[in-house]
Amino acid sequence: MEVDKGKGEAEETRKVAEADRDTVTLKSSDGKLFEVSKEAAARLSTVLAGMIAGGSIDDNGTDLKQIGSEALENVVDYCNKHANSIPSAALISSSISFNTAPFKEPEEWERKFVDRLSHDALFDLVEAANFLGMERLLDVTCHKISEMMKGKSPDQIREVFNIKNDYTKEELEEIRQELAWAFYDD
Amino acid sequence: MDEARAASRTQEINESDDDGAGVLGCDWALLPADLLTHIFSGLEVVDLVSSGAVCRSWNTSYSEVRRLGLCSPDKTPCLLYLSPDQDGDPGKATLRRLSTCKFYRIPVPAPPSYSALGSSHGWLVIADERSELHLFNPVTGVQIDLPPLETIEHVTPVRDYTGSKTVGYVVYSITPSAPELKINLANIARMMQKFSLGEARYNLYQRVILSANPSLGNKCIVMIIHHPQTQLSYARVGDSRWTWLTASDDCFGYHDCFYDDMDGLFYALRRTGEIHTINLRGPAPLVNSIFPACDAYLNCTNYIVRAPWGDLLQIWRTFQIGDNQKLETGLVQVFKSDIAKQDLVGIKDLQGHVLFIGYGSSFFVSVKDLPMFPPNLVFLAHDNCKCDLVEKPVINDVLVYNIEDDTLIDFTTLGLWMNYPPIWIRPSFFSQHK
Repeated sequence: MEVDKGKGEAEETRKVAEADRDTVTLKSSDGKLFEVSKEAAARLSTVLAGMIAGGSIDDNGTDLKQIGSEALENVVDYCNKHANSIPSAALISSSISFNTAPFKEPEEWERKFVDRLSHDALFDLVEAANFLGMERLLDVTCHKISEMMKGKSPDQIREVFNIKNDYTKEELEEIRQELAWAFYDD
Repeated sequence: MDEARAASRTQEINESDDDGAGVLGCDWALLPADLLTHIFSGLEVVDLVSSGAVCRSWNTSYSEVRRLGLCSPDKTPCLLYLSPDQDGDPGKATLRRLSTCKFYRIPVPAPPSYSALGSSHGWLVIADERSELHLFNPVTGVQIDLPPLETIEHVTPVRDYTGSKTVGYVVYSITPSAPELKINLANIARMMQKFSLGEARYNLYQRVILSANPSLGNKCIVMIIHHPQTQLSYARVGDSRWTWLTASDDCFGYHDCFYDDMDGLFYALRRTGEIHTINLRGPAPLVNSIFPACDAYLNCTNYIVRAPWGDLLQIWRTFQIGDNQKLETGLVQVFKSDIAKQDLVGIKDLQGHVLFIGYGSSFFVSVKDLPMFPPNLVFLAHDNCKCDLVEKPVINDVLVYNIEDDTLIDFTTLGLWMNYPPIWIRPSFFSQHK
């Protein structure tokens, strides 16, 4: 989307109107538009909060070129569901720092939310959550992914995630030595 | 995408040169490294190891998580059998994960004739065939030697005729109230017991408790309850000798002990139900009695543990001689030690938790983390009977006790290889990292 060239009074008026609205419009990489509660977006995404505070929200749809429509739909769906759910103590105090603590337990509805996703949709959603700085959604999706690994052998994990075994024979022998006990199955 | 997925199903680990697997659609191998690290840091140890073996990029993230010490200790336990595995491979121990019932084989240091005497913080306390104690982390393979057995106050080595080789140990029955040895012909058998190098470990050690993760070095105090009269000696990791606890005349008759991070005290439970706190932070050890004695039964092993909801609990495990002339668990009772009222109150509710007891330090797990089990279960593994007999009988069972209705639940599948006492452990990669 092209940024308005003439930064005159019209722009100012638009910004005031924007500030009055209680939703923001987001635009996916393939040009689809989604409305999301401004309060939820600001609360759940550090990136969107920054854009709202900095006035860089576009009324005609803020461009999110890195996120496809399916993933963005899930992001918006999550935000709207979140706005409607009663926040629990766990959510209010969710001030964990990235990469230093294991994830917070998902709520029941969050569990259901990610359970219905296909693997591809989950993959896109975790990347979108990462891009938008949505710590809570990141925890929920990462938790789901870690559950998909639980109790599986390396072979089974490759199968679930459709990952190619890119080790050479020599490397694999080394890995087998180093991580010997991952290779034992009953 | 589906074709790609189907293609990858044919992939076999032994045929790594098979390049038929497609990487169309989302490629999980290309998940950004910081995301993978985040996901991996929430995995339990066994899953983390498996993930590290998946592909190159995942292995890099696995190594990163290990290097940065981001792995959280496991919430759910495994039963560890420090014994040759089914195939008789002596360099391996067997780990059975409770949540999935899966078996894993883990390498153990050679020679393999170790016995496991305790476990906490993901570490095992093991005694070798010369009865010397070591700390061993079965998932990292790190081993730390503890002070020599002969530095325990009660123990004197027996040398061979050359005077240079230790062939056994003599253990003297001294106590804090009678620290001087007074031997006469009438009491010599009781006051002086002789053990061979290998048998001392089965007769001397009753329980070993760690105050912290041994990776923290001398911050970790190792407390042992030992023969005679189940007394206490302790050493910090790195110390050269054991220190005997003699702060009070009644420092004997202990069954169990734990260290409380919150107040920095050891809580030691005596056979009678009396609780001592032991403060090792000052220049001299301080022992305080905080809970009175009630009853003592000869056929009972007692445990002490801090519940997640803050109460100080005692568990009494009564045993009896079973059909096969071996000791088996009869009744399991859980009590709250009400410090304010100085009263012992029976409880039937573990507030959404299950409890694990055995040779290792006792611990609770929330049923949220073990959703396949109902609450209020006590998982029991082998333990010795904390008596003063020279031959310490072992309570030989792995079973589950429901304290709500006092029923034993058959869990015989967990009780394989009964000759090798299994021990509960929550694996941990944790190492010192700031």
